[in-house]
Amino acid sequence: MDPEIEQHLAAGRHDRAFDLVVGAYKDRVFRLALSILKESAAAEDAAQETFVRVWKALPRFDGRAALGTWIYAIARNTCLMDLRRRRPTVSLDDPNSTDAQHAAAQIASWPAQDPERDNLLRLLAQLPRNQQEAVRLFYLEDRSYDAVAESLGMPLGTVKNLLHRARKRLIELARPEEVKAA
Amino acid sequence: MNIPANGACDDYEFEVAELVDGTLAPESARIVRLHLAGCARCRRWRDEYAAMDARLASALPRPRLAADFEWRLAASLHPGAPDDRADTRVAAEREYAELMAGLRDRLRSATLGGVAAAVAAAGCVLAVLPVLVEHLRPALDVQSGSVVLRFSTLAITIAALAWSFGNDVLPGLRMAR
Repeated sequence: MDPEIEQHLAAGRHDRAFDLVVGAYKDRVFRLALSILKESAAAEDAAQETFVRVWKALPRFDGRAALGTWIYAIARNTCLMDLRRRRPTVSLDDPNSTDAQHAAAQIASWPAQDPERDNLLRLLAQLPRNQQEAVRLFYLEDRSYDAVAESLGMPLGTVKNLLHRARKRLIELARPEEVKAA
Repeated sequence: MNIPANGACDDYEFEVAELVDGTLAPESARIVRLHLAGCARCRRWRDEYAAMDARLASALPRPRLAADFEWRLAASLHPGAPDDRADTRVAAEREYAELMAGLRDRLRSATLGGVAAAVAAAGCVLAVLPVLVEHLRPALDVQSGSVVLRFSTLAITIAALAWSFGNDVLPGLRMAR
């Protein structure tokens, strides 16, 4: 934890500690929310809601978990609750749920851009949800395995395996597409 | 290190990916490169993996958090707190209104003064001109009424222009526009 944040928390200066927490974690929380919710506006709302919860709970933060781990856990829960509210039929407990229909509808609603890009995003939408999130977060975090592991609350080796399987599957999915296109 | 130096391609698949990512330990990287040098299948996998990595990096949107995120968060946490941004906006609007009011006052007084000065100058010219024309009539081979009219118009125009430049009315008009 940032020593300055730690000092403010230890001294009970929660307002000051919170200001520093927001400055230090807002971008990471936003990117985590974006990897889960896929929409910028929804991710920003979830980031706001996350920090409102952090604000309320900060006086009770006991430091047993790392501050970042604690904040990212709140962010993930906030996003999953948002997903449940919006799409109650999707099983979020099943890591193999793909929600490809939602992704396809989202891509269809975008202005026509790059067909290759749209094609790749359609392939991505066919992956299990946990792989999609890991892939999105990995590239949002400038290819940092450590950042993904910390944000998702997973061991580094698990994240590497998850990303490896995801990209291998994308390569396999892309092969017939390229054959068809050729 | 868990790569057998003479292992099958499946043993290298994960490490080839790590090599592309740049996260493989140097000794493991050396073994993987040795394998790649003699294995077309693993080279193809490396190329496909690198291409997919590049495609994902360029295809995935990377929006940034809105600049006013912290302000909106503070507003939602403290709904009754004074709004610094609103105060700044009100102050700027007040300053602008005062500036425009000052310009309007300056322009109004300058215009009124200019008109008064021009009328006074014209009056003086009209009063003096007939006497002057009487004295000059023998030298002029024109009708006196026409001469008075031409002199009067010329004098009024010159007086008004001279006063306007002297009192900065024209720059004031430019600013008002």
